[in-house]
Order: sequence, then C-alpha cells, then structure tokens
Amino acid sequence: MRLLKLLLLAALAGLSACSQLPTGPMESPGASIWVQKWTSADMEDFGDGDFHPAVKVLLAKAQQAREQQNWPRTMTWLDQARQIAPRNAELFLRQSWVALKMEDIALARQLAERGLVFSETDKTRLKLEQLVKESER
Amino acid sequence: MTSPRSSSRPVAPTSKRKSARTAQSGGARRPSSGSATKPVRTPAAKAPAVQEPESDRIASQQATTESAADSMATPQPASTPSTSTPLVSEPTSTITTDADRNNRSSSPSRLKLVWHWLWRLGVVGLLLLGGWMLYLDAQVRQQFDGNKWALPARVYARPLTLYNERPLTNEQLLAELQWADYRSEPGAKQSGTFQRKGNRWVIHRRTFNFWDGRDEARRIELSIVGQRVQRLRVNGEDQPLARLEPQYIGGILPAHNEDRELVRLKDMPPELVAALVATEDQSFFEHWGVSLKGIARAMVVNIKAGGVVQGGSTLTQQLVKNFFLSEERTLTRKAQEALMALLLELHYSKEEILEAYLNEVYLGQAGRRAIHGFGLAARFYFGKPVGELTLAESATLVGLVKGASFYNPKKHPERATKRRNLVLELMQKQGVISQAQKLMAVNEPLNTRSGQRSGQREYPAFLELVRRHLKEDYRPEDLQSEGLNIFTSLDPWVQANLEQAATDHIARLEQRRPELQGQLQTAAIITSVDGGEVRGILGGRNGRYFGFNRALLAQRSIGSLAKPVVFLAALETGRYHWGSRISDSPVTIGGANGSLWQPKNYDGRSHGDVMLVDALAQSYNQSTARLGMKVGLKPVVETFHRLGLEDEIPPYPSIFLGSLALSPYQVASFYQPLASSGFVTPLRSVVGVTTPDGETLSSYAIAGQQTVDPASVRWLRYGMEEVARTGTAKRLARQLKGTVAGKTGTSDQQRDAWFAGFDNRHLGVVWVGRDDNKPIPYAGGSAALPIWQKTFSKMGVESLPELKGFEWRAVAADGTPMASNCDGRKLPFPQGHIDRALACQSSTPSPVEEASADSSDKDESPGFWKRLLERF
Repeated sequence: MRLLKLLLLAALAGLSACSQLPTGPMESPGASIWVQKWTSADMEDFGDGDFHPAVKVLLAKAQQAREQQNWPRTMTWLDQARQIAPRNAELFLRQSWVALKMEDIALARQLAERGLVFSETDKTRLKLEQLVKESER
Repeated sequence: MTSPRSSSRPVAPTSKRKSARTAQSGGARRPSSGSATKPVRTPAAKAPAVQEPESDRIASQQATTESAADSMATPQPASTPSTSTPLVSEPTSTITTDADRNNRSSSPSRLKLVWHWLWRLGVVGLLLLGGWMLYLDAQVRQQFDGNKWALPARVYARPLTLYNERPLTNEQLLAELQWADYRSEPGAKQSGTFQRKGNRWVIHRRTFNFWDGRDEARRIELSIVGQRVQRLRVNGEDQPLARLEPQYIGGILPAHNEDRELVRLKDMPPELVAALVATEDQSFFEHWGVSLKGIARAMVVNIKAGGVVQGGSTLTQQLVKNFFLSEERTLTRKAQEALMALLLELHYSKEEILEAYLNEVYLGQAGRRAIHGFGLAARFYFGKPVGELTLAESATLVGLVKGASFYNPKKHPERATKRRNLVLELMQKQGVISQAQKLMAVNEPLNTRSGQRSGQREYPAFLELVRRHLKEDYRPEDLQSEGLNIFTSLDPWVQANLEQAATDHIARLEQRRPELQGQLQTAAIITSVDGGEVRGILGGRNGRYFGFNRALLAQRSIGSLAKPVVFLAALETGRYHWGSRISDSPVTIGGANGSLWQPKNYDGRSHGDVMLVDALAQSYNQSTARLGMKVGLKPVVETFHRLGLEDEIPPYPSIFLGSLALSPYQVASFYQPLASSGFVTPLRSVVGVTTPDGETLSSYAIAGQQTVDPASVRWLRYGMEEVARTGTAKRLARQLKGTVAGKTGTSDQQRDAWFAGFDNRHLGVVWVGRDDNKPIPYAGGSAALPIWQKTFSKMGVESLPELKGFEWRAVAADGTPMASNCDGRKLPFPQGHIDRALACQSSTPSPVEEASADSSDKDESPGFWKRLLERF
C-alpha cells in the first residue's frame, strides 16, 4: 500500500513536471484578461495605485464624494489631484470615468484621450481605450 | 452637470439701497449729530452717570441719555446766545384763549358742529394713519425678512496647497502670508499668525469655508529645503497635504458698490457690541424703537446750542433710516422713521435688530467699494476677521459710526485715536470694562494694516475675466446679490511677479527713450500649461487700474508669433524636417486687395539657403514666407483653426508673417496646444462656485480636445527651444536655468512687440506697444521678452522634459539625414520618420551661422548702434 502511494505521488510529480511552468506571477495572465474585459462598471477604488501621498489624500476625498454620487464634487477633487500630478494618466482615467457618470460624453472622451497621451502602462492604456469606446457609443 | 442658472437661488427681494455714498455722509451717522468735523471732548461732568455693571448682560447697561458719545463729543453751549425761537409761544396761546372766549359767546350748536367735524377729521386721520402704518408694516416685513442685502459674490484666488516636495521659496510663502493678513507672532498661538525661524515655519491657519466645506483652524509646520516643502506637519502630526485659505481678491459688486461680509451676532466679539450700545444708544435694550428720553435730551441740547447738534435717534431708528429711507431730512420722513422703528421692534427681537445694524452700518470707502458692516470693516482696517478684534480695535471701529471718513484711522490717526479713547471711556464709565482694561486699550497703537493686503490689492483684469467666464452660466444680478463664493485659478505670486516685472521694465524702456514717457503700454497673461488655468493677467501698465483691459480686448498684429504655425503645418506634411533647406532670398507674395508684397528680414539681409530650424530660430521672414507658400495657404489657415483660433483668418499669404490682429488672451489660447501636447484647452479662470452655505453650484474641471498630433507638437517644440537657445530669444538660455521654448514677435514698423513662451508648467504671453498704434523703437526681444524672463525667473522655471520618441541625426548639405554615427549638428526626427539615411559626409556650414553673429540680439532697436555712436 505504501508502495502504491509512492508510485502515485511519483506519477503526479512527473505529470506536473511535464506541464508549463508559470513565467510570472500567477495572477498576471488573469489580470491581463481582466483588463481586456474591463469596462467602466469595474472602476476600482480611486485610491488604488501608486500616487504621491498628497494625491492619495485627494483621491480618498474623491472616493467619498463618488460614494455619495456627488459627481461635480468628485470631479473637482480629482481636478485638484490633477493639479499636483498634471500628467498622470490614472487621474485622467478617473476624471473620464466621472465625466461618463455625469453623462458628459464629449468630456469623457477628451479626458480619456488626454490620459492616453501620458499613459505608461498597458493596463492604464487599455482602460482608457475602453473609456474612449464607451464614450463613442 | 449642474445647471447653475437654475440652481442658484432666486434673486432676493432687493431692499432699498442707496447709491454710492460719499465717505463723509456716514451711513449710520445721525443727521442731527452735527457736522462730523466738530468733535469736541466733553467735560467729565457732562458724562452720563455710571451704572452698576451687571456682569455679562448688555441689557444691563442703563443709560440716562440716548447717546452718551454724542453728548460727550458735542460742544456744550456754555453761553449759547439766546437767539433761538421758543417752540411754544405766548401769542399762540393767547389767540387760543381768544378763540375759546369767542366760542363761548356763540351758540352751543356751533360748538357741536366744530366738535362733530373735528371728530370726523380725527376718524379719517386715524384711518389714514392706520392705512399708512399697514403699508409701512408690510414694507418693513417684506424687506427685513429673508435676505436683507444684495451680497456681492466673493472671489478668491487659488488656495496655496502644501505637500512635501512642492516647489516653494521662503520669499513666496512670506508674501502669501502677508497678503492673506497673517501676522508674525512668536509661537503662532492664535489663528491668523505665523512664526518663521530660518527655513522653519509655523502657520496658525484660520478656519475657512472652502468650496468643499468648512476647514477648522490648524497649526501647520513645515520646512523649506532646496526651495521645496519638507517635513509637513498639521496639528503636530505628519500629514501629506495641507492648504492655506485662499486670498480674497475682490467682489462682483452691484451698481451701488456696497460690499459687506455678513457676520452673525454670536460671532461678534461682545466688546464690540457693548461698545456700540454704550456709545450710540445706551437705552437700546429698554426702548421700543423710539426713546422719548433721548429725544427730549437732544431737544434740550439743540435748543441750548441754537441749532441741530445732536440727534435723538435710537439704533433702531438709525437702522431704519439706513435700511429703508432716503437721506432727506423732513418732518414726514422723521415721522416715518419713528413709526417704522416701532414696527421693527414689534416684529423682531432686539438681537435681530442689532445684528442687522452691525452688518448694515457704513464704515468707510476702499476705492470704489463702500465698506458696510463690522465684518468687512475688521478686515479692511485691521486685516483680520471680526472675531479676532481686540478691545481697542473694536472701539476704533465703533468710533467710525459717527463719521467713517472723518475718523478714518488710516487717514486721520489722531482723530481716530481720540474717538476710540472716548468710546473706551464710555465703556468704562458704564461698567462694561474695568479701569485697567481701559488703560491697556488706550495705550495700544492703532495698528491698522498696510494697503498691500488681500482685500486691499485690486485685480481688475482678472476679475473682468472671471465675470466673462461666469457670464455663460450665471446672471449678473445673481453674481451681484446672492453672496456666492467664486474660487478661481489666480496665483497671487505669479500675478505679483508679472506686475512687478512689467512695471520695472516699462520704466526702464521709457527711461532709455524719454520721449516715450507715459506712452508705452503692456498686457500679459500667464496660464498653466496642462490645465489652461489663468494664473495671472495684466490689462495694462498699471495692474490696479480699472480700465481698458488690453489682455482681453486689444487687437494687435501678432507679427512673428504666427511663424510656429507655419512651421507646424510644414512639419505635418511629412515633406519637411528641421534640417530641410529653404531659400532665404527675396520673395514676392500676395497681400490684401491683390497687392504684391516683398517681405524683408529684420536685419535687411537675405541669408541664402537655411535650415528650417534656423529660419524659425532667427525669425527670417523671407524663408518663412517661401515655406508658407510651398505648404499652401489653406493648410496654414487650417492649422490656425485646429489650434483653437476661432476668428476668421484673412486668406492672404501675409498671415505667414503675422498680419493678424489678436489679443494676448487669444494668442495664449492658440499657443496653449503648442505647450500641451496638442490639446486645445479652453482657458479658464473659475474652478468652482458655491452658495454662501457651501453648496457646490458649479465645478469646472479640465476640458479640451486633441486637435494636433502630440508627436508633431513635440517636434515643433524643438524649433521653439532653439529660438530660446540660439535664436532671437537666446538671452533666455543665458539667464534662465533649464530649457524653455518660445517665439519673439515684432509687427510691421515695430508697432507691437511680443513674446510668447513656456516652460514645463506655465505659458506666458507678453505684449508691449502704444495705445495709439504708433511705432516704438523696440522689438519683441527687447521690450516683451525681458518681462517674460523676469516673471518666469521669479516664479521659478521648471525645465521642459527631454524630447521622447525622436532619433537624433546630423544632416547632409542637401538636408538629407545621415547615418546615426555621423558627426555634425544633430537634429530630432520622429522615430520611423527616416526611410533613407546617407553615409557620413560633410555638411556645408550653414550660412546662418555667419548671419547669426549680428542677428542674435537683433531685436534691439535698429538705431541702437547709430545712437551709441552719435553719443560719442
């Protein structure tokens, strides 16, 4: 019985050795797919991401206003954050998203396009492109 | 989006406002208190009897006279000549007696008839009086309920945000604190004070109603190291972000120019209220609006004086007079005043009446602004909120009620001090303050603040821009009456530097050419590169002057400022790059009405084949005109429009060299995309609008469409950097640290001198010229550029980032790019742009290099050397 167990384990080990080794963090492929499927409905907490601490404070306030669905105020907080980090694509992403919520489609598109000029990661770029698409509908 | 026009509150019933008052008239001064030019000290014996203090109730201040201050300040006629007519005369009473005698002798039926008619008349009179009272009652209630005043919108600059690594100098922080009425005080224990020790700062920030809500007073600590904020702490804890309250920069005033800051009674210092009651109406808490005792006393004084030297008006009557009635001095008006005072007291509490009085009373004049109420007066005279007033300051302000101009502490400190001390003495005599408190306050200097503070500094050009921008969303009457708060993008530090640089340089230019004294004008605008926020604007050589706003309204020929548009259109065709050669030789082009035109270069010479980059950097007219012709008029006009220029552009080749008349504001608008990756960003001055209660009515975030490919804009930027490095603005490379880009401009016959340029944060456009459009002996590089340079130097230049997405190649003599390892002058090419590269070969020296020796500072006046030689 013990021998049988050992043989079974060896077989399992052999099978796992034949499978492809992950080349990066386990969540990467999933995350990538997730980003490709990302829509404005999946907008994360405004404070998520790497920002200057001062920007983080303003994003937290924008998040609060977002939860109250006070869109003009949300937009103003985000614009305050933008003044500190004027070329941060993530901030344009958030502003564009709020503009969509405010049903200002033209502004949403403009802000997303502005974000695309400054985007440095594929993840942000894909999201911004998605917002451009949504603002075209 | 919020619809501000609909969401802003409806216009309040406008109370009867007076047109602008003269400073002498003194809004709340009683007409009978005599000329304000006769303040006289009263012998102590004439002072009202001292009342027993009843701790903290103002109502306890019993008085024997209606206005102790007046009785003390009024000349007591020791030996008044008895020239006045007695009010009740003997002969009248004699006639009455005769009539009675006559009546007695007539039949009783006649008496009955008279009595009958008298009775009827009495009834009619009573009915009329009743009707009148009903009418007055309706008037009182209608105007006193709800919004009592037309409150001008209050306009604020941007708040100074503080966070670690934020660029900031000690000089800027000090200036901003002073403009915001902060006082230097060891320990900075009170709000509105600060302490500086070298690079370390402690700021006790005041409570402020920001656009997002009320922010309580805080103690902010920070250091400034390497011109950046470090170690930011708030209330003793590390914090990533803090902000100072924004400076008040002006109001959008109604036609009568009344300005006030509403303050609740509970927020007024008790000493101020006590001083007012003690001085103006000691029996305020006892009478019903009219004080018979006060009237009787005033009558006695007036009879003795042989004229009107004292009034018997109560505070309520004064309020009625100022709030509802005109300045006329008739018996009917006086009766109306008394009746309305009674009605006011019937409907409203003493506290409500007092609060209205404290906010209504006229207390001075600041230019065109009439200062009403103690809230605004505290800021105007002492640079602090009313809640921070000391006893002595409160007494000084109360002293102004008698005559705001006559006792103005800034203009007449001696009179104001005497009056203040009189108020303090009354307070002490009535037991409101102790002898020790009085002595301390009497020994205090007046301490009025300088004119360089917020609320004193004027920003006319910017306020006009704000009004313009708000016009689309708000009705003027709402802006003038609803007490809205308007938060703007103005950066007072940028504005101050711009004003200073312009004033200094215009003076220098006029000093060099005395015949120009007072003739030169200037206008400028500075915006943020990324958001298009207007940070500073100058409408003329005197930044404080309310007049023609040249930055918005002057339409002047832009000269060579148009050239970058021609070069952008050329680069976008794909047929040209900065190394392409173009002939700088005489050229004939078409102008208006079919005329032919042969443009000349500034130095009067042609420069042969030149590279595009040199044609722009050296601002050659002939090569630019030729390039424009090759690219085509239509693409150039389209490029102007794509950059956001909405005006019609005349379809003549002369536009290549700037035969377009635009305002500095318009120039900034179409340069904005060149500075910001091709986005046409509407310039904006307003960030948000809130109601007086802090409800957000509008917020204005960044907007703007991309109309030019960002790579093309970056490519163009290289040429504009060369202007500032080697071209007509090369003094910038010598005098500024960091890369900037720009373009000089000089219109035909040197009627206009321009410079437009940007660093990584700001875009600035400066114009210098004459209002009568006559030529000036200066070009853009010598007249406008130094103003730009000094302003940016003081603001702190942030270098433009390196160009990304380009490969750098030398070019052959024919302008073809060579292999990447070839030596020579390297120029940028967009990646993927080069489809054919030559092997290394020598590139013919650019003829421009010869020419540049004498064209480098060619923006100097053409007659400069001649004049210099003539002097020797």
